[in-house]
Amino acid sequence: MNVMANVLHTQLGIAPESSEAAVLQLLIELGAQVVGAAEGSLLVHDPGGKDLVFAMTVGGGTGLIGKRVPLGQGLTGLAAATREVQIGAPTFQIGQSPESRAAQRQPQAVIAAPMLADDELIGVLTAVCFDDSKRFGAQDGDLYGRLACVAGLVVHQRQQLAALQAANGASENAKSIAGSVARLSASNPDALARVARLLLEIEGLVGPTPGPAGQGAALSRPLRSPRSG
Amino acid sequence: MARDMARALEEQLDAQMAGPLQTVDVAILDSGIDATHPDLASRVTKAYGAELDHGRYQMVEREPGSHDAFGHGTAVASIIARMAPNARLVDYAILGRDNTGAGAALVAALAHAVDAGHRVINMSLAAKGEFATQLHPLCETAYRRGIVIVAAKRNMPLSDQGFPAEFTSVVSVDRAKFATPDELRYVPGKVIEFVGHGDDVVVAAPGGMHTTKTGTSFATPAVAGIVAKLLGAYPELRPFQVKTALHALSQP
Repeated sequence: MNVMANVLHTQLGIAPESSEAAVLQLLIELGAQVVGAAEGSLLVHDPGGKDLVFAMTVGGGTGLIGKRVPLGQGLTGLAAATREVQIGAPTFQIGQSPESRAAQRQPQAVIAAPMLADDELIGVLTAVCFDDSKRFGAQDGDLYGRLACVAGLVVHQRQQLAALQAANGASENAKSIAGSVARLSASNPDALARVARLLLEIEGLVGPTPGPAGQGAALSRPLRSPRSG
Repeated sequence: MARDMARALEEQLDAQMAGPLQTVDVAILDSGIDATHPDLASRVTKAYGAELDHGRYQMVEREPGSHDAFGHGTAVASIIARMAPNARLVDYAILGRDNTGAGAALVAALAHAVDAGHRVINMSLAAKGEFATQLHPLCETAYRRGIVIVAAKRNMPLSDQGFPAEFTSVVSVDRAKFATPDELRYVPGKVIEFVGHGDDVVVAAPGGMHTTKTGTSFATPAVAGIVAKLLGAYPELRPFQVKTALHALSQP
């Protein structure tokens, strides 16, 4: 599994070849194209590491995939911390020429928009430009806010579906066990006491079952009703 | 008739705000302030940081200094400092690097700022809807005590416009691009009543630097700066009178 696929699967519970991954990629491409950004990216929130991880990029920056950004750093971290769209530019000293600022090869204009699900942070969508004459405006920020909302919804729906499937699978297994016990009871009632003891022993041996490996963050989140405001 | 009255009031306000102004304390609930920045020299008189104590946030006083995890509060403070020379800034740092507890810390900071009686409270941060029930009584108390809370509309297009900006007891602010930072627009009948200049604003950044910012976060201190000047000229104004004056100062 490559780095991007691993980040998507581990942090969001999304398979790299899934339609959800394709929609996320499309949103990053669309956003970057509409606002005229040189690069766009999607960073996912890793609550364990208290940081953000680059999961997808467009327009270059593939070397960033898997790189981590602390939550308390820069405009991306600020968007995550405030749950707000942040639009900005790099810092400069009063009197510094635009040429020398551009020569630093730092992003000259940045948008960072948080992806949220029920106000929980999922990740951040970003757009950057290196051209000093380029500035992102409020309309660009509004667009990114909307795209981030859609991206958050895509991930949240995927996670809810996974949780429902897990619950449904558990229910099917329980039905199967109950059916087996019922058939045994009908054909050999004397064996029921032994079956009960065996089940108790199995329960003691197995204990509480953890979720599927690598999907803890996605599946351990409880299902919630839609946000009422 | 109403327009004539507003114009007369606007002229009177402009004349009064151009004269000597009384000092007004402006609390800034944000990511902290880099008080060492040249743009803010001697302007930050008090500083508090949010600290967890037995599961509850407490505001702990500390020396004003370089306290800003993100640069957001420093940017906000520099707009108020520039617009209102009579503003004495009070730093309430509630947004830390650990990215936790922002809503609960915001509530604790607002309670402290209202209790301290700072005449203007700038909130360029919005809390989640779940904190609305805690914020509402604090805003009502502030209103009754003559404290003007200036709060930003949420930038994200979610189901609410941000709290406390949705409460009528506060001066709620959206952003637009105006020719000058002291321009205002009043939007009758909307949840967010005022629009301030918040596009491509040059602001202070930690470490003696500058940057440009866009958003409601930076329109809000522009309005808070006007409020601080109003209260410096007319200290007896109550919050509803401040809104009337802001209306008079707004573009038609």
